[in-house]
Order: sequence, then C-alpha cells, then structure tokens
Amino acid sequence: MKKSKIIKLVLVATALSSCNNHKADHDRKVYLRSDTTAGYSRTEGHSHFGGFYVFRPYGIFTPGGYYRAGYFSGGIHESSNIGSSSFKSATVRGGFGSSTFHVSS
Amino acid sequence: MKRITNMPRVDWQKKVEEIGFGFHTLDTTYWDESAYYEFKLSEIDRIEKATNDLWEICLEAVQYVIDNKLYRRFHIPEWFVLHIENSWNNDAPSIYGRFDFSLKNGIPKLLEFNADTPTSLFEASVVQWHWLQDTHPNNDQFNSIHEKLIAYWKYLKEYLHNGTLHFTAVEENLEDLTTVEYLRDCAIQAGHNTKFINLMDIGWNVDYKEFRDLDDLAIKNIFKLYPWEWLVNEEFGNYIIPDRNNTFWIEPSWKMILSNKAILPVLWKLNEGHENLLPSFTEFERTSLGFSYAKKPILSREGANIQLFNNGSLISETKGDYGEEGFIYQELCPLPEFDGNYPLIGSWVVGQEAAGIGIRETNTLITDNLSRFVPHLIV
Repeated sequence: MKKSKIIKLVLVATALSSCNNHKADHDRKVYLRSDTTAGYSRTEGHSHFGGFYVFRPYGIFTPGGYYRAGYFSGGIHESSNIGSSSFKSATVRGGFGSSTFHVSS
Repeated sequence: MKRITNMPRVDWQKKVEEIGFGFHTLDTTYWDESAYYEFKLSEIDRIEKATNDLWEICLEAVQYVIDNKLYRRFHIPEWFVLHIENSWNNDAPSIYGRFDFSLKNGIPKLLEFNADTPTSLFEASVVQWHWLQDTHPNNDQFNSIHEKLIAYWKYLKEYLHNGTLHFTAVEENLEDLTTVEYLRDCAIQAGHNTKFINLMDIGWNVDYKEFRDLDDLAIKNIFKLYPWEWLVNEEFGNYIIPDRNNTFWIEPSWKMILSNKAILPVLWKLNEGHENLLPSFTEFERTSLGFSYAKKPILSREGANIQLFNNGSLISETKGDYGEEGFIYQELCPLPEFDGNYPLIGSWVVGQEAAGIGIRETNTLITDNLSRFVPHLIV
C-alpha cells in the first residue's frame, strides 16, 4: 500500500475552507507608526474616522502625575499599540516581500 | 500510464472547499477531476526509485558545487556563500522538494528539481487522497505525503532551536498560504508550537539583532515559502547573517544550489548516462548538444521564459521576466501526449525519501501557470 491510511487536518480545513482566491489589494495597505515607541505595522486601512486614522493617548497615573506612554489607534495592528517597550522601539518591519506576490513553482 | 476520462463528483467544488481547498478554480479550472491518470504498480515503483536515486545524487552534486566554489555559475552573491556552506555543513533542517519528470517509455526523466519553494503540495497530499476515497476507495495511490510530513516534522523537533516554529509566506496569495498552512497543520500534529506571520510583517530588532514576530518575540525557526534568491536581495536579506540567533530558515539556504537550473549540467557531468537524467549543458558547453533541446533560464518560475527546439526549429515557448542570469540547455524530452493533454509528474521528496506524486497537465508542451491538477490511482 502506497497511500496514507488516514488524513486528519487540525488547522487547514477550518482556517481556509471559507477562502476563495482573491487578488491582493495593495492600495489598502498602509504602514503607520502609532507613537514613537512602537514599530511599524500593517493595517488594512478600515478603522479610520472622518478620513483620518484616530490616535488616542494612553498612559498611566503615577504618584508623580500622569505618564503618557503613547497613542492608540484601532486602525493599526495591536502589536503597534501596546506598550512603550524598549524592545519595540528598535523593531522595524516591511523589509521582506518586495519582490513579488506569487512564488509558486 | 493511461489517461481515463471520468465523471466529476456531484458538488465536487463544495467537497474540496470543505477540506480547505479554495483555489480549485483560478482563471480556468485548476483542480480537474474530469479525468485521472492510471498507473501500474511497476511504473510507480520506477518513479519511486528514480526519486530516491536522484535525491542521493543531488546531495552529492551540492557537495561538488561547494567543494569547487561554483557559486558564480549559480548567480549566488559572494557575501552569502558562508551562510550556504554553514547550512550545509551543519545539516540545517530541510523538509521537502519536488522533482518534475517527463515519462519517456515508462522511464522518468528529470526536467527540473523544485527544491526551495515547491507548491501543489496540498493538492497532491490531501485533495487527491479524498478524491480517491470518494471514487475508487479500493484502489491505491502513490501518496503517503501526509504521514511522512508529520513523521519528519517530529524527527526535526530535536534539531530545531527551542521555541516556536514560525511559518511565513505572502498571505495575499491563497495558493501559497494554503501550502504553508498545510505544512503548519502537519507540524502542529507533530507536536510543534507554531505561528504564522505574513512575510511583510517580519520585524528586525536593531538593538538585539534578531528577527521578531508581531508579538515582538524572537523568530528562531521559520519555514518560508519565498525563494532564497529573492530573500537575499531584499532589504532584510542583509540581516540574515548578523542575526544573533542563527535562525533556522526552512528550506535551508543550501537549497539555493539545488533549486537553480544550473544544477542540471552539474548532475549530468557527475552522472553522465544516468537513465533518469537528460544531457544538460551550460551556455559554454552547449555545442555538445544536438539541435533538439530546451533552453531554460537558471532562475525562473512557473515555466516562464522556456524555449523548446526540435531539429533547430522553435516548437514552443513561454514569455516572462526571467533570463538575465543566463540559461542552461537540456536535451529535448517532450511530455507524453494523451489526446492533446501533456502531463508532468511532480514527485515529492519528504525528508530523505520519495513520498508520492501529483500530476499537472497542460495543452502545450510547457507546463505553465495555467496547468491543471489531475488526480491519479494505481491499478
């Protein structure tokens, strides 16, 4: 016998079954930066208000007063909205993937 | 090998979509079950043996290229050679590859080896297996790709760095995404902790000199469905060597040698007369070839920029944007014809052994991005 006895999928069927082939909509991709502490990240460009991305300040109250950690926007990836970590400040993105959009061979 | 016309299953689109196959119809039909190919067991045994034999001589050819520093012939940038040699000398993990064969009088002849970013894996492993279960459950199929993938991901576990095994591709393309998510599915079943990241979202941390995912966690092992020759020429390609984690990129960078068609003349030089190889030559050696040959760019995808000559006359060609790195010349071995259909056999290597086949057919002699995937069975 040269065929698999059974094939079980734990990810693909649920993750991809509703997908149809679609063309990349590159015009909608925008790389934004939410504040001076977060890395660039990709957004689908759908969470804007009045034509502008909304950035809301966030921070913490300390005995010494309010400390503003950065700005938050629902229009960009959550990874770029969380924290003012020193790690994130040095992470840059978007340096891979410029060659083409289809690699099949 | 026979081509049998066949009534497609009722609601076949729904059936294949239910298992996660969303690109069955592209501009034209891609998954085509209005026919199937029938093989005798002896023919399959021959394909299996050819695949295992060729894998062995491919590894010898890589060693030869490295020993003789033939990188310029492969258009591999000098600054990246050390990474390739390290990945080879350290047995960096590799999971799969696909040999493309033309069957000539029952003998598989190697047209090329897709060693770096082969696709059509999910179709070969899962979709045609379900088709067989539905239509010919008592027949066999050369297809143990799924269980071999799971087994090999398990085997690789102890060779990877601790932590998450990332998977990446350009997610906007469903075909590429499906291939990667299928491989990730098998890795999950093998016990790996996995995460998908869109290629463009990979980050580089300047302070820590490491690649990061969107949770800002270090990437130490990553399967990428993206060609090495593109990766190294992009902005972040310069960071692959200074990366402090020495991230395992799968397929490893030594596959740059095997996925390049410049390997074909090397294989022939080292194994002249091998029954599964076609005489192949560089531009400088092409006078050794007659007037019937294929002219192929050393770097190209989806059958682009290929010209076929028969007795000196151009009989078929494809357009494209490849060829500036040069060409190789290979003895003409036309695909067999079945009522105007030309099948190409893609024979999978998983880990170190032959694992199954998938067949793509076209209505021309060159298999391009308009090919159809047609299932098979063994009688």
